[in-house]
Amino acid sequence: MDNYDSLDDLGEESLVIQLMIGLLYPFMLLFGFYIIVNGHYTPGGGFQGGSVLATLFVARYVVFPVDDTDSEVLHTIQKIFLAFIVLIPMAVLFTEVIHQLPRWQSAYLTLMDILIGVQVGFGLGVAVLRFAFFQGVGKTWHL
Amino acid sequence: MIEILVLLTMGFFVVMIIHTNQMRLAIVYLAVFSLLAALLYLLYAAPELAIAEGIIGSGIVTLLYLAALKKNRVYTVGVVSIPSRLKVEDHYMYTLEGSEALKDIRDFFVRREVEVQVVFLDIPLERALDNTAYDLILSDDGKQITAHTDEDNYVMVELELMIQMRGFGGSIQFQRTSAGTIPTHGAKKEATE
Amino acid sequence: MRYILSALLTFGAFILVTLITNGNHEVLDPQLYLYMIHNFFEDTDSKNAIAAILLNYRMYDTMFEALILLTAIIGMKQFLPRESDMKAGLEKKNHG
Repeated sequence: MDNYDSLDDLGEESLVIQLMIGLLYPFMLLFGFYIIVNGHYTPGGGFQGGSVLATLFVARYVVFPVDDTDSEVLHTIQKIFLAFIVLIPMAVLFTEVIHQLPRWQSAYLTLMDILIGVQVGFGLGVAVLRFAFFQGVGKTWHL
Repeated sequence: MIEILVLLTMGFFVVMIIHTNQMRLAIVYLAVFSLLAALLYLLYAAPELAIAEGIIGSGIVTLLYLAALKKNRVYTVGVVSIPSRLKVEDHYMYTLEGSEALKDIRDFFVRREVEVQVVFLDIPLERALDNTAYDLILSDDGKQITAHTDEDNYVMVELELMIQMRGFGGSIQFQRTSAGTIPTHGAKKEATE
Repeated sequence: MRYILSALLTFGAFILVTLITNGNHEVLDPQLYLYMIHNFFEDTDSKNAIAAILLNYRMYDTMFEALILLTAIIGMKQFLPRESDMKAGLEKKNHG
């Protein structure tokens, strides 16, 4: 009987999940950016859209569990974006410059939404990748 | 009214999450619970929270738990019937599934909080012993169940002790094969701890 | 028996909380939120009140929320090291 060999790979990846995630991947990306960019107009915003972007990292891990994403780069980008999140309101909002320029208000909201979205997405992505590729079971890590 | 209905369903799923034996089912119930919570937030006119709960609760957390469960190696128990006249059919599987021995083995793994899957094999015993995918192979010759394990696998030693203490020593006979015949990936991970 | 008891206890507490929540009709003094929902469009030019509150009225909240996320991830990187980090740490310890 030919189905002997199919019993050997009980722990392998499932083709159904691979195909479905590959099909949904661009739509998830599009949905995430839609939620982020329309944050000041429809329900949603930086945090929600960023969570959708972080789901992409997990989906990629489920399909293709290889640690080839450098989480240090993601973490550095997250730190830079956090610096912008702190600096831009200090320059624009707390000095009340933005209330003198009503035309720029929605541009400010969109910019802040994009910054928060990328920050949250990369942050949760780093967390998820760290958790997924954690190898040291029961060992002590010496500093 | 529909809110109370959703809340009661959520309560039902919470009880199911705690009291299920299989971790995979618990994860799926948790995802359903999060989705119901998102629906509840939508009914309470909080769409932003509904989006966040739906994505984080049933997206990221579910996939993350599944990824964590993938690391938690599964013990695979293969069941072989020695006379080929005992075909692996539905009623045979039901009889063996309901037998005390298999129930005890499942109970043992559930107590140790290890995932276990039982596979019924339609192949001869030698071929199953050559296969590296099974941690424990039960062979049933109609009267007696023989368990073939690796002699390095100390989890199986504990299993044998438990079965002897419970008084099933007559019905299950243990047979150790030499080390390396059945490389057990599940036990190797625990041995490094 | 213990399972049934704990299940009953959980379900009883759940029903109690649900009943208390449904019986509570207290209304708070709505001054601040009335100001916000009447003026957020003129103040911030945003059509979504929550975005207006998060990014304008309560910007400090958002800033420190982002900071909390960064802190949590720094802690996670510390306690969940990768294989290469662990090897580097061991070599450093053996040399130093």
